[in-house]
Amino acid sequence: MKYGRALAALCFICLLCACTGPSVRYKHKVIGDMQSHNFEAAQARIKNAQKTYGRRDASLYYLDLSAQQDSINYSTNTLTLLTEAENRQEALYAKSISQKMASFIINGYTEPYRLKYFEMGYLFFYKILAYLQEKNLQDALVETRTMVFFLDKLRENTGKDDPFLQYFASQLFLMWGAYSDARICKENAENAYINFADSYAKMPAKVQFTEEDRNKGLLTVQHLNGMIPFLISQKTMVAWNRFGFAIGTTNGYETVDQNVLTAALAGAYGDAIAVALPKVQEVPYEVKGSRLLVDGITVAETTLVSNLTYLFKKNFDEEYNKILITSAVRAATKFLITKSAQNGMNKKDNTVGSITDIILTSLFTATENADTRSWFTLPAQIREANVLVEEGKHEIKLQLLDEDNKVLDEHLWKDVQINRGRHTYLYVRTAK
Amino acid sequence: MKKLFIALLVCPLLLACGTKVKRMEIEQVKDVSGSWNDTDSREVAKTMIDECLNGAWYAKALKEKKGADPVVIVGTVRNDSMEHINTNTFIEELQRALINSGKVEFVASKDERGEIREERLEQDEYSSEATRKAFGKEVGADYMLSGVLSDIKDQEGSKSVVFYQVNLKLINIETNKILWNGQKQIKKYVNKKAFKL
Repeated sequence: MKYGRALAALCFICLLCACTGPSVRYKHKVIGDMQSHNFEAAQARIKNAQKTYGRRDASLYYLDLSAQQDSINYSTNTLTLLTEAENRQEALYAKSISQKMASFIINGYTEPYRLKYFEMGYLFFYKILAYLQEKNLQDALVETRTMVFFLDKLRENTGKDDPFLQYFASQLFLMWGAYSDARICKENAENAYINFADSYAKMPAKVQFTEEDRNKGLLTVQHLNGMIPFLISQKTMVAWNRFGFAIGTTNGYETVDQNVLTAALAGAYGDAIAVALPKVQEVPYEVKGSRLLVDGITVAETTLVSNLTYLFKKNFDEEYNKILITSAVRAATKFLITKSAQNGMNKKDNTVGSITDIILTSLFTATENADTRSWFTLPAQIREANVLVEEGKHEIKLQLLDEDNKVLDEHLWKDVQINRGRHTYLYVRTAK
Repeated sequence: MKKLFIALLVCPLLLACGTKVKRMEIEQVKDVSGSWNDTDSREVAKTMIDECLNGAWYAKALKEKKGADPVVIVGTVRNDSMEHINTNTFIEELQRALINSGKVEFVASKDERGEIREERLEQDEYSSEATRKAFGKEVGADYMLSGVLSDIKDQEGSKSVVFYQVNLKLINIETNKILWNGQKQIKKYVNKKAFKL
């Protein structure tokens, strides 16, 4: 009978362990597909893993699915996916008290994932790109206004801003002839770039029009490069009994089975506390720059306009103390629950008390997982080049360069129509 | 017996989780998120129809046209708001009311025209001479209906005040004179629930 209950408890642990979202291995596989520029394989893999995101994190599923497409492989489905992700986030406005309480007993995964401020900003950015791909400037501007309103509120409430998104908005307002809005956004961008000086991102130089350029149009090529870091869970287990104590650390790459084994061992060991904390895992990328060619002639090198890796790390550092406190409170709560239950059972029978201790320690160790959720298909950086191009159809090429300026790969847009006095946007996603 | 009892308890709970659809009266006001919705669109249409049909512009237009019905074309209604709003809903309603009033004639808009011209081209090739429609007989519009929808949003935490303003104008295509300017303003206070159980 006792064995039966222990087995049931272990099954329960397995079930709970399974509810932790996409694994590190899965993320590496998707990143691998994207690095080999096999977006279709990445998309198929994400679709297959929909269940691991669950309904709770459906917004992340839609974002991961949408963000790995580029303007060459653009699909109209992208906009639907992004809108769906945005709607799911809006629905999360009201915070659930019960889910919050559960996060102090089980782990952070009991609450649905709320996008970080920079992820929300880039959700708007991707939607704007999608509307521009559909040549729907009116809706691109609606989205730009929403993004600027979001950034304004962010600045008012937290002092944070996103220099590139402000700059991007200013360019779009300029395109539409909304000069006041363009000026305000540009000023905000300039201030934000100063505040983010250590990110090495810079506002692109203003393109100067002269009398000779009257038959030209402005071409902007955005290069979404690399992969943003993601988080892994690092679990530290402190166990002790009357013979001594032991500290063990796992590196976040364990499978569900290994986690269950660790949990079972922790329970068997006696008194144990497990604390899981997230750790930043960087994804190396080879492409370090890019060069723009129009009709075979080099016209510009792209410059770093947004450093998302920097934003990710900065946000993580800012949130770390909060994560640390939450984890400590959770560990203490779990320990108190285990000991109270054990003491209660000891009054009836010491053996039952010990078994309760083993089961609860195993359960709580197994469920202790750091919240490693993030929009992991975002690029590490955004680079941009702005050039004036004669009206007409052109062949636009972007050469991808390594650290030594050696060409690793290239992207080609054939028959790109440039109109006089108009602004044309192209973008490409690389992860190599 | 015990299992049956549990099953009976669980079944209604599972059924309660399914999608529910309830038919509503068109006029019924139901605000869900606080964003622009069908009620706003209907209110705009109603105000614009009233203002347009009872406005002094009609007498002026009749005078300009020497008694002939003014011909109107629908131009662009710009969405300068922060929401993706389909302006066609109230524009179509306004157009329908004006046509049905018998006071105004409408010609097909820029988008609609393309398809009709294509059809005429095909008729030229495939239809019999008796039924084929000739080119160059389109009626040129006298006035263009255009407008702008803008909003102002003030938000603090879970509370926000949203103000929408819709302006529609009838512009004389020949002289650029604005003959009529209709306006509808809508103000909403939205208080979102910050917590739930």
